[in-house]
Amino acid sequence: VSFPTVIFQITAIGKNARSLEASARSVLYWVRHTPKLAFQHRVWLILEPEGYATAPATYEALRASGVELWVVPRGYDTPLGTRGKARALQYAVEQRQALRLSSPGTWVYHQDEETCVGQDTLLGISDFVRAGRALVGSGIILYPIDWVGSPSHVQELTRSYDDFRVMDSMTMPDNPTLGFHGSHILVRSDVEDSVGWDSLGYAPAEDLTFEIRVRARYGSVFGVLKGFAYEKGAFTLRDQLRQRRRWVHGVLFALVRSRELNVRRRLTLLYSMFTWFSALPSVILLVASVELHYGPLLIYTSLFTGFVWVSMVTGYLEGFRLHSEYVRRTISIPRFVLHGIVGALVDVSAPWYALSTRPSLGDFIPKDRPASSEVPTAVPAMN
Amino acid sequence: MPDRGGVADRKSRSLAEDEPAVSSGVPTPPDEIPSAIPGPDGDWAFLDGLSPEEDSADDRLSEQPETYRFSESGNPPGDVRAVLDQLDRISVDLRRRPPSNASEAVDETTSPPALPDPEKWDEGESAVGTVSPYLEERLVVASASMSALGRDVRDLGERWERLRGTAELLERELGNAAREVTFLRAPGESREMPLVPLTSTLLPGAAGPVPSSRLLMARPRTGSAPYAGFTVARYNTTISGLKARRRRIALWTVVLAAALSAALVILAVLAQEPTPPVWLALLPAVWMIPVPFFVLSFFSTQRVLRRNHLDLPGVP
Repeated sequence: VSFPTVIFQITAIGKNARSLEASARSVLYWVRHTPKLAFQHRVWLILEPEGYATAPATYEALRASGVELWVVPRGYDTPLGTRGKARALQYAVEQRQALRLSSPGTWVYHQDEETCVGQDTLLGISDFVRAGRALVGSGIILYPIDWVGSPSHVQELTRSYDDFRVMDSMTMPDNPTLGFHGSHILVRSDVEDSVGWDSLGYAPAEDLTFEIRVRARYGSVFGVLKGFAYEKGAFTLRDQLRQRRRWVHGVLFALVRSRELNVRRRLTLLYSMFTWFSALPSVILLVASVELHYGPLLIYTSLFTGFVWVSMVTGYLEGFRLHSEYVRRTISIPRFVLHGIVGALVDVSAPWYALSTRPSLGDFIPKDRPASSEVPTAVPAMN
Repeated sequence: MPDRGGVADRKSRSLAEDEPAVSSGVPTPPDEIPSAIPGPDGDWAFLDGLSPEEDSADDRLSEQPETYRFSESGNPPGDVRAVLDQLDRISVDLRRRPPSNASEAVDETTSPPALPDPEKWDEGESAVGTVSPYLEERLVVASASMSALGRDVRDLGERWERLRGTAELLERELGNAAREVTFLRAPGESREMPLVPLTSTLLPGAAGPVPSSRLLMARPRTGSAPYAGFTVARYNTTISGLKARRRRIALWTVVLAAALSAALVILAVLAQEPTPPVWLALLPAVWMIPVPFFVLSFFSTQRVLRRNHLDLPGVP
């Protein structure tokens, strides 16, 4: 019997050492608490030198626990000269090729620095690699870690419910509503390594570029990955705004630079961008209508306006229900509504903010909560 | 094959080293006999045929030791004749011997050679300074065997690596199984996994705890670690709850959307406010842009929940 190998690869700068440590240890913990896993595991930590320097003791302790540590050399350059996270991901690709791990028997599970896995994640991965029906898998991400009910945290709830849309779109030809993740994705290593992460210059959303390439080369080879991944939302509205800005620039980058993008997908991306950009004018016009008295317009639009609003509210409500098993901290309904509105306003403003500013390599979203403000948000184990 | 040349070299070296010893103890090769030994009838007439023009031959003879110099009449001197008679007898005697060992080589000149069995060929005694007719064949066979041996060794190495990996896996899983049993048997609060280094007695050369950190059990964090609560039971509860609500979500979305839309229409009609034509052209366009996206999202969510049984097998 030869079990496939799953490399749990955490690729990050490394400055959020405690979050990163929790991610790695969640893998080590659950592989030893989950029976009937049909794979062998390895944990790879891909770090930048400046990140490693912030907490060498933490990283060495992880190494002693079985984590394989890779620090991307400062002088390392990819053939196309990409930078940022794509550079580190490409470095990992080359290491796998050197170690002859680029094979159908090896899978790579991508984690961000704050992506913790659970028992369900591992069983979902095991189920996926055993079935072998798809080459790339993605699933639902929850955001229960350090959840405090802030506007940015409430806004993240909608992303979890939206992941059902993402999964369906991803498994359809041409990915009509644009869905993919950069984390909680499982890729067969030979597929990933043949496509690579290298691109010209800085790719703000390297995951989107990767998805476009895989689809162009292998077709619709995406499948649903069972099990949740567990992450944490941005702590502040500013961080949330910067994160969304990076996404917008990622889509624009793909529109301009991706040669593999066919016309149909290009139009899909364009429409998605247009939808996002239209959100803020819609809100502004809605507010302005009170003063400008053009309410009769609702006669034409109300048929769908109700549907859009209900869909948005459903996203918050069902998103919260998805998290209810994992989040202990509760907030009042008025506060929840208020935070939801604030979080949504940040999201609708993000594309316009992205037009006026640019993300940089120095963009760093803190995920380590200060030790003094730790909050017990996770429900203890049921067993 | 790197050794191939080496073997050939060693072989040729061995033959070369053996040559003097063999030639000193074994009769002269057969093709030289006719020039040194007279015919069977003891007729020396062939020496009479030497013409004066063949002085050079005489010169060569004159370089022979004194004992073997012919007389001026062309007849050999008496002592030489005695030696030649002796050689003649030896020659006849050799021809009478059964065709074995060295005499076999002598008979090759007069009769078709009987091919020796390659398996029984003893070059040390039988080569007699000649190149074995099977040497090349033997080298080919030897090099082929060496190639096969090399392949087998490599294959063995790969199998050994796989075996070692399997042994590691087996060892790790046995350790995990033992810990799982301990964990499951332990009552509630004391379910803390012990930190025990696994030994690797299955691995060659390992006599104690394996220094490799990969085989060490990671110490789980305390129960307060967030990920400790991410169990499959919670996942299944969450997913089954959502799947159970799927129809209700669809129904309520449609009902509430219709109600909300109706309310908005009623409000707009009742307001009876004049609307600038420019807004009539602009606003519906802006507000309708995201509608296809939300409609697709609605159906996508419903579809993925309907088609995929996302639940996972429970863990005892």
